[in-house]
Amino acid sequence: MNWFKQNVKRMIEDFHASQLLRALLGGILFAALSTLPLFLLWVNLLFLYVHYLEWLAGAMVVTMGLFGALIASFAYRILRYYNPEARADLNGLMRLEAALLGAIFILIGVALALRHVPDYL
Amino acid sequence: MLEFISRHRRILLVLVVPYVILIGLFTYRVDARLVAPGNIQPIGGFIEVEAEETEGDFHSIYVMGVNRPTIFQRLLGEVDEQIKIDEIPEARRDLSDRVQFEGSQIARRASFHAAFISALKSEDIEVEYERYVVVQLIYDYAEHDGLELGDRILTINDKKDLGKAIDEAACGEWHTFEVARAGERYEIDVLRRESDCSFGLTLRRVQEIVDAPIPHRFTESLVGGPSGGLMQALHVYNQLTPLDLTGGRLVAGSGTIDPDGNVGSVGSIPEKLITAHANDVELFFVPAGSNYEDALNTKQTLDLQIELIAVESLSEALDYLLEGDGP
Repeated sequence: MNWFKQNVKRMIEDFHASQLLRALLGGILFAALSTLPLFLLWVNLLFLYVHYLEWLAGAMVVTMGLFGALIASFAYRILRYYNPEARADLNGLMRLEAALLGAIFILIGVALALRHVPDYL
Repeated sequence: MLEFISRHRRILLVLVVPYVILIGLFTYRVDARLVAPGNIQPIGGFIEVEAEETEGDFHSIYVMGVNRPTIFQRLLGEVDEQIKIDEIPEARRDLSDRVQFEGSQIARRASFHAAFISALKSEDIEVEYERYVVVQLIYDYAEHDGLELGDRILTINDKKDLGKAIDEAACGEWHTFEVARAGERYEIDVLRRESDCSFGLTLRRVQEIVDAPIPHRFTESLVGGPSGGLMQALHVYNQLTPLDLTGGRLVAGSGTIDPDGNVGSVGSIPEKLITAHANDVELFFVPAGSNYEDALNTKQTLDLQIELIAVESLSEALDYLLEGDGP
């Protein structure tokens, strides 16, 4: 917990709010661009192979998790460009945030799948 | 962020071309229609009848019709024998995806009501219902001042006989539709265009239960269309009797139904049969006539182990299940 508090404090000291915001937006943008082809692939297959609906829905959920993890990955890479001398443990924070965001997006994906997939089963 | 982009400029430039091609493959839509096998659905999942709670369940079958598929889907259609590639039917060319979806939901709701009514009639249970005409589809080219899908048409040019009113409506002129929507009445002008004398609408006669002695509930689903009617009626009937008509077998089929229990033909029978076979269906009900011939051809060509039963009415299907080779 101390490690986390200390690094959050350093992040606030090392970066301006505008830099953090731009890194977040950049992370979302690059993560979306990276995972878009995969999403489109699953959607394209979904309409033709409903028999494998559960597998394809699972693949979409995993892709959503990947999207969440990539947001953190790209955002922290951008932050490193803003301040290469940052004292905060950017790698540690990136791994933590990637795991958290990945898990959150997987949960959202599971909720969406549970809501819509049964309509086709 | 710009610095990030400029540092990775070279790799981004290399990636951008295949990336754009990939996105194009997945999103650019071409002029064709694909029909792919779908899935089977237990009717008990969306029609609940508070009656005998019989264990067996009947299954409806849906197929996936993709209008204007992406290039990638079109290529898959070329290599996968189970996917049929067609021209887009003329009647569907000027319909948006939203209109087609909502139109199929209107047909599905009407089918639920027709199935319930016909099943109750088969058991000589009185059910009060009304029939009326609604707007099922509005084509992109239709010119009107506010018509909506599902509007109930009361009169056209003040005439209650809608068939006669349409026959008498002149081409190239505007005509007044009186419609009911959410308890309100509206007068809406619609142009019957000169070129092909079309209103740009598809109207559908539907039925709605007003009062029934058996409590029931219909659940919405993303799968639309009227082709599950026969199976829905069999399911309702099965719930009204203590006997399980399925006899423990996996029973599915396709065919529309009207309130008098007449079974109507449907599309994509080969794909539905393939879907049924893939799901280990044992009995497959199919409308008599060309649908049955299509099913028989498919069964013989692909050597499918599935029993086909051709029926013209709900009573024929019931006779088969109750007497013939039924349980």
